[in-house]
Amino acid sequence: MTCAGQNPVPQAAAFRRRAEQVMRLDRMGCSHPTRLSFLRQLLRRMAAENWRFDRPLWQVDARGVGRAVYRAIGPVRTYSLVAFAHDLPDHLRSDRVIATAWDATFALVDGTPDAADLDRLAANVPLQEAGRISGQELCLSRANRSVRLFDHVVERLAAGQQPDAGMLAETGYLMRTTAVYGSGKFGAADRATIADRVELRAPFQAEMLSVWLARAFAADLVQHLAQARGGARAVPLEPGLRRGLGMGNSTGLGMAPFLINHPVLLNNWMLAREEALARVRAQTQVGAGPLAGFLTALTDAQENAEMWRSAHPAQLAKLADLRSGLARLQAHVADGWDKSAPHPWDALWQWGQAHLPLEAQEALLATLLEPHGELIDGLGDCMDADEAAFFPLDGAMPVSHVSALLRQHYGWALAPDYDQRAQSARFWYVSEEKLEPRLGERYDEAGAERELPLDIGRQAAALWQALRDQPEDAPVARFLLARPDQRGMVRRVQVTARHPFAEVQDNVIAADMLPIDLLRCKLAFFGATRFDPRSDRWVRISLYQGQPYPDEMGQGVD
Amino acid sequence: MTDGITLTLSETQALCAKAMRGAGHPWALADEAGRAAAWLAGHGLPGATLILRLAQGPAGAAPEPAVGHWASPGPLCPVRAGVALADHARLPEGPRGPGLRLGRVVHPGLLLPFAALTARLAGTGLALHFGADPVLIGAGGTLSGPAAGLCAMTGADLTLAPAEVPEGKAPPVPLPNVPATVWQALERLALRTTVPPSATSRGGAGAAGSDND
Repeated sequence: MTCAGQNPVPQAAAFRRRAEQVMRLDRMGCSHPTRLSFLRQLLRRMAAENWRFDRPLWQVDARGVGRAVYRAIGPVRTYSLVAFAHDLPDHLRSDRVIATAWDATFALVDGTPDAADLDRLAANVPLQEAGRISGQELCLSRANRSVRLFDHVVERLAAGQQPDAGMLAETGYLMRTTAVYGSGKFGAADRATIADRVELRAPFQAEMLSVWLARAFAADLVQHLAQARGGARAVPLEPGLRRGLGMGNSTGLGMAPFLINHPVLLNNWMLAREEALARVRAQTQVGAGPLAGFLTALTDAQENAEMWRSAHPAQLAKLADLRSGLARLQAHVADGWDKSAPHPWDALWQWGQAHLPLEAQEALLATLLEPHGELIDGLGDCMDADEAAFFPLDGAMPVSHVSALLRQHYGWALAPDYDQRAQSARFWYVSEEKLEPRLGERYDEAGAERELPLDIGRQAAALWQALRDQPEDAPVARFLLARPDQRGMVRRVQVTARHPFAEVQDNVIAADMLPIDLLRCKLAFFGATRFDPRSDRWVRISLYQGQPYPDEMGQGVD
Repeated sequence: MTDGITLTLSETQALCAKAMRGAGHPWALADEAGRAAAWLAGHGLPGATLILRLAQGPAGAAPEPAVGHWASPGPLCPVRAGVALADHARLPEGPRGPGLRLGRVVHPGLLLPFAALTARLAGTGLALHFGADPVLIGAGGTLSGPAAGLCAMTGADLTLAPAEVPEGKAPPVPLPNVPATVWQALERLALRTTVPPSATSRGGAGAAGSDND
């Protein structure tokens, strides 16, 4: 959906950042979740619409094996998470997509499952990719325990004690999902069949709901096992400690190509966030409410930065930047910030641009959005995309126009010399073993002839070269008759002309490209926190940490 | 799984695109083919089967568009002809006036999704003639006439002409069953787009440490 033309803050346009600043990997790799993130949108909707939640089935034995159903009951429709709990030996526990067994497996069902549905799902969901679900299901997912923390919590609760707060903070979750499949995968409902439901229109709402209910399941399971072990001595998990536990997520390269394969969607995510920032910067005064909200958000950001752990050298450097940057920001807000400037939020933003590292600049963005819900939350409605609507090419466009668009929007792509090894060092491919995207070293590994067409920069440069010999006034349709291989790139150029934030403006096959930058950007839009890379292409994060559980939804969600 | 499988539209699209790529077509055409297969499946037509036939058969020719009559060195590939048709929807070489003779097209059912897109882009209904009764395609996406019959043909001489086509919303049809032999053959072709594992690739993809923590 496009929201141009109904913009209530037209003056914000002058404050918008340019795509060539925003769409660089180093900055995208500093993305922070905001109130527009998809899990925040889900929680706000469910709170505003007074969704009800229940657990109509809990059949889990003392070993933690069995099944459960969690329902989210909205004003029009009900969705149910069917959870299967398994007894997984330690040696089978792997977060990799090549795993074949998990501590828990889930399906999100459209409606309330009956006994036959549950039996059908029991025969398929525990198998994950090797099973088959139906159009009545929206998501398929699985999770593994954080073994050390999970066992510690069970042990303590069983003994009538609360778990060690330091250990809870250190890990941050009891279970982590290792894949959440939606959108027609493994038999699940196609996105097109549910995209017109208002509650699922924003991106990844079914997936976010799955994860949120799975988090509740993890907390229930740990308390169930403590009860089974400790009997009358056992105590429930203290609500404050429970709230601090999110759902972990372990993810790898699988989601990186998504951003490149969905240019309109990426544009809409970025554009909504950038418009939100511009609206705040365009404000001519700082109200008492927003100021108080901003100060709270800044304190929260600092606390979050203190709690955020990683052992990865690149992330450690970023965390140092973030902590020192937020401290400087705090000091400037207290002593230097001129709140009577013509555009005071913009003055603060400009100061940040000049004085803060990228990590803290992007954290400032999230912090500025936080107290401005009324001004920006409507932009959440603009973050979906009908990618197929932009698939047809404009074949009548003259070659000279395509070249001009390339020059205008792809300068970043035309500059590198892709014959240099460093500029074409990598290739993206799909592994035969698990049909998952991977990244190879072009000059050291076999398989580059099976490369995925994600090398957009290099393709743009090739198109530029190919168009040089063409008659300028000829329609591009004629060029494509002889060069069908250029079709994808011509389409991207035409899409980008109308969607300025459609392209990651960096060479994603360069030797120094960090795939985790792509992951961080996407995960921030999900609402992920505690981004913790385990390598340059594998990361753990937390979802919903600090957010309410289903039984707490009456307690104020913003 | 001996009697077949019901693939979702996104599975049909992804599998057929990979199979076409695996059969040696450029990614851009393979993507088009995948979408065409999903469009057909969404209309209850055997998109995956047609893609397999196309992928396994001889490569059809590319068209040489001209006003009123497209030439070609041999029977046309429905995907190459289809994308060219949509690309020329608003150009003089597109279907206008008394009609556009495309000539011989292999697996002509695969042209339907592209004809539908062309109708939408040109803003006019189209009649696709290949025998007694034409298939009628509305600018708004309606489909009527012997589409299933067209999908059963391995080749046909096609003519496209603007036509008055009544618009209406078609009821959703169940997803077609894909025969196991077709599905498995597409999977085998799709596998040709993948790279076998190496010690490097396995080691590089996951976390550096254990997941038992």
